[in-house]
Amino acid sequence: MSAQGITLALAAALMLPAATARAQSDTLFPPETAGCYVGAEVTPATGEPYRKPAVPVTAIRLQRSYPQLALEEQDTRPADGGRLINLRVIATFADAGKGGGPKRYSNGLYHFLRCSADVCDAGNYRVERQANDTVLLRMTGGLNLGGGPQGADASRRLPDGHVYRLVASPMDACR
Amino acid sequence: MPGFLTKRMRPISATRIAAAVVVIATAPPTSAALQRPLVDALPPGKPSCHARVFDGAELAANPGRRVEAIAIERSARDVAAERKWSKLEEFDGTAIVSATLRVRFRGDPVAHSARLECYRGDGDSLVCESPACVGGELRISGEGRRGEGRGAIKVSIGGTLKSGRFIGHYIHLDNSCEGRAASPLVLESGDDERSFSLAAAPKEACR
Repeated sequence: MSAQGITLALAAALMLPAATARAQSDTLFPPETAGCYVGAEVTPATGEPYRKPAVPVTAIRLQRSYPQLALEEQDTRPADGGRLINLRVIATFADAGKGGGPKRYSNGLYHFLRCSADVCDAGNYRVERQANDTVLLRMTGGLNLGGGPQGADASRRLPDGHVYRLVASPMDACR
Repeated sequence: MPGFLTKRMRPISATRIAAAVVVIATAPPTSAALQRPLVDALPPGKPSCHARVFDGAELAANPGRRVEAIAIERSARDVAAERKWSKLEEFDGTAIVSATLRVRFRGDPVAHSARLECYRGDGDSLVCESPACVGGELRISGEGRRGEGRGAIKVSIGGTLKSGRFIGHYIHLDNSCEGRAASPLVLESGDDERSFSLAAAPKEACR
């Protein structure tokens, strides 16, 4: 092997751990890291069951900030070594604020998702990592959201089969 | 006529019954076990006001500080709401304390406010959200000082993870949420504004 070949091989060997470390940081919702995804509904491919929502979603946010990370710290790690995360799903509908109704709806505080490197699954919905810092929020059963002050009992549902494409965004975008 | 076993059991049973009566009589009621957090600072059934105003010297010493004045008020309306909520079954996330957050920023003559609904947090603390714009939150805990500072509260935005890493957060001060033409109006954690110590004050200090 030439000197140039040896140099290249050595460089590749040195770069491998760095590349692995980068791949690990590319994990969907990495530990102790705040994150925000913002997006909207997408129509699934033809042939899949889909019913047009009564009131369309105009914006959807996935927030993982201090409240969610603090909850994750309290939760015990599953025996099988899996990873659990907490997410706030915040939806704005086309009729936001109309008639004194809520501006935003969100899921409950204490729901956890079990994660692999590319998918986090809550059982009734999942977040799937895509290329270019995007994720798909896919309803696999549907998700109930609540809104407004306590006692208002306002609720909406993201129905089974509906899919939302969201882009990784600065934390400001989840406000 | 009682048999041997019955005779022998009687004194033991009497002792056990007496012990059980003592335990039941001295055990705290269920409501005390689920006592509301911060009952001294934010007493149920009584309005309260906690406020902090940063004077010129403090603002000059911290040029990055945005907040000039901050207050948490529980008015008669809040107390009435709390009384209504206290009759409901409490689950995780059920609001138990109602309040209004008021903030005045440096260089902004307008005071901004947000209605808060607070639920039980870790230990003797509350987690408060703006029901109009979910997602943001602040945490209220006792200052833990005795004497002069008794009844003071600490308002935190964001917090520190076990690793020591600080994660910032925010709360909306504008019910329009993202409806404003500019970015949302929020109180957010900054380098010098991760928590605020608010002293108990007369209600006028919260207006």
